[in-house]
Amino acid sequence: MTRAGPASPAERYRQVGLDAVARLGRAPGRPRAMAAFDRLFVDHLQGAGASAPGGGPLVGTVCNFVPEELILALGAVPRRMDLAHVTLAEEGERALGAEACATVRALAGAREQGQEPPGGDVDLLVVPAACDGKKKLVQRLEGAVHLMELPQRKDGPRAARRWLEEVHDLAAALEGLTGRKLRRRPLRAAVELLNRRTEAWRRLMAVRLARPGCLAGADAFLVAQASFFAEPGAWIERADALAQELEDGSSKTSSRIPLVLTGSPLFFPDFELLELIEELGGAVLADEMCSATQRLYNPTVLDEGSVRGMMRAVADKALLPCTCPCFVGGQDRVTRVVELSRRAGARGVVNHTLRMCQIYELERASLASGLQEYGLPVLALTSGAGGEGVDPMRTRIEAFLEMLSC
Amino acid sequence: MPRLTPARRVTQTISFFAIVYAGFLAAPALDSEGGEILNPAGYAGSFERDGAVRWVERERVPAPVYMPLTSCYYQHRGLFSGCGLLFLSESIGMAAPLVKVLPYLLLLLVLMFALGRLWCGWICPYGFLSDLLSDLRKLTGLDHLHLSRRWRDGLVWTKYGLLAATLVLSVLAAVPALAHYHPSLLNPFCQVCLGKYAAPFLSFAEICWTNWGDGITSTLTVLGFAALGAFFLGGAVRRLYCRICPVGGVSAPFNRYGLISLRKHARRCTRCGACARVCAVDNLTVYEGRDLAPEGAPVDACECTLCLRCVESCPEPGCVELHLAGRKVVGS
Repeated sequence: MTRAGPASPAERYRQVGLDAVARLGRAPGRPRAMAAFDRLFVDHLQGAGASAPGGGPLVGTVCNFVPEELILALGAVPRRMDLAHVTLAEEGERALGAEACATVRALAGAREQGQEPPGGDVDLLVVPAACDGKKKLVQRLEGAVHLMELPQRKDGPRAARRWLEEVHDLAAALEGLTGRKLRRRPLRAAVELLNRRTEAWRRLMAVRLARPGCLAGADAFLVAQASFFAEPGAWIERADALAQELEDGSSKTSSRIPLVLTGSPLFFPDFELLELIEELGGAVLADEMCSATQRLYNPTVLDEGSVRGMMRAVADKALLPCTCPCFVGGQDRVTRVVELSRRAGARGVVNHTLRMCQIYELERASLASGLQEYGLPVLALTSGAGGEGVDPMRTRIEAFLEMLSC
Repeated sequence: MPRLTPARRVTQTISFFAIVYAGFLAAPALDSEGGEILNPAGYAGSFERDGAVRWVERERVPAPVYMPLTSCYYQHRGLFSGCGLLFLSESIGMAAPLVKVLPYLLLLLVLMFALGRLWCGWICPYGFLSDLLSDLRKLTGLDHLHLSRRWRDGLVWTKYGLLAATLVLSVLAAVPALAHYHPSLLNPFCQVCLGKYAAPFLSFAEICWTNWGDGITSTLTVLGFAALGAFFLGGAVRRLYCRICPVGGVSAPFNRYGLISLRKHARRCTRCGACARVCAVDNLTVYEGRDLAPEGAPVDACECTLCLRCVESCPEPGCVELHLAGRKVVGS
């Protein structure tokens, strides 16, 4: 790993991250078990997680479409790389221009500078072509980058066939990287490990819904995003401890207004929107975001014991329940948000769009009209990276919450 | 995600041994009764080509019932009289008086109305053997063969084609002008069905492999070998024989219009596709139920054997459920 100078974007990112962890840690009444997640982040930011534990190759991913089960089964270490920040995004402008989102720019910028991207120097970066920004990122990055092509629609035999082919291609690339062959037992073990992670996340979700306000929305996102880099076993242990603490806690009645959050991903440390909503009297009880619940919610349902059969299950899990607007047809997302709102007893939905995240922007109107059919009011907000544009939202969120409380 | 497969395997195992071997236990008592053995069609034999009646000895069975599953009458010391399709084709082929067959017909209808094709997925001995073939394949680490939608639909139509052909040939068997062909036309599917080989084999009786008597029986003999092949090909294509079995075809409508139904709460569905992938007969109606059925409505799952793997595999609580008489029995 190459050390950047103290004033470098990477160093500034580190500082912003550490500040954010410290700020979240100061919240009153925060569950004690959150400290374990803070430590994970501090270690990660300070570079302890830059190289892969155990010496296996480090495989970076930027999307939930990449089946981490394959990476784990081949003895490599998966790491989601998109904990990007505006401090690094500035560097990416030269590569991709100002019209790409901060996540994509940050990844490009880090390589452009000859620095490691946030999260460490990876042996292979796997990028699913979920948006134009990611396609151009692949084009721009040199070296070990593997592109996964996505079907335009999720449903139907053609999509299933093509996607399975992509997953097989990825497996071949990973086999080339690790020098191993994908085998049944390690694959099954990896699937079961990540299914336990899903169980732990669902347990946390359940207690958040049963005891509104027991965990701040920003903390829930912090927990989810610790899974980007934490070893799954270690993450599960911490998440179970947190769930246990929340389940054992006294049930308080919350006067906050229950909300569900949807939209473009919010990445650490840019949790200002979550903090602002809760500061103003809302409570984010559930979310439909690929940077939190959508990443951890779905298990791989195994039926077959063959490598091909398990690959099909893993491929299905990565593709089918995904609600990303990169596909044609947005009804799955509407249904998902409605169901989460029903379970959370939410009175409204906040739909966040990251500036220059075109696919979410394009789906904003259809999502709003879809949700309104179910009587769910939607507040659409747009923010930039690094908390940019969050403050002007204050009055709109206040007005929305006031409307919902009437 | 309730675990149903272990319970299903236990039920299947008990049913298998009961249907195939329980009759042996009751044999001494039945044999001591003696007397003429009649079937519900009101005859005790079969017509010869010259119109004479050839008396065929039939064994008494402990439970003289025709079941909506392959409880084969080729079974030596069987528990039941035979399957529902044998009953239908024989009653038609022998032009049996309605009053004689009515009790059996009503009982068969009640059984199908009550449990639909749950008989196929949980009780049928050959369904069980098909599942064991799949289990064996899974142990070897081999993948199953995937059928395109065209093939899947083709197999569904094969099943109803076999059912229709059985009924048409049975009607022809009853036509006096065709009396010469009566022996060849009577119970045509019995000459094709897997039970023709499996039932005698399992009950230590002699298998009648071929009947090259005339064009009809020769054709049925060839189709019989094809069916036997289909059963063993079931090691590669999950439950292949069940997909073409017309005995299941008889009870298929009761999956939708009987007391039992699969229901889907579409709003809870995340479209993860688990139900479609685990289905041994590649039935997609549960998965697609989201678009077709209103909330919590019964799914049109006539081709489904109600093995309930979808209920077992669905990760969303309360999304897929089995209902009996409007009440939830088990749900995801």
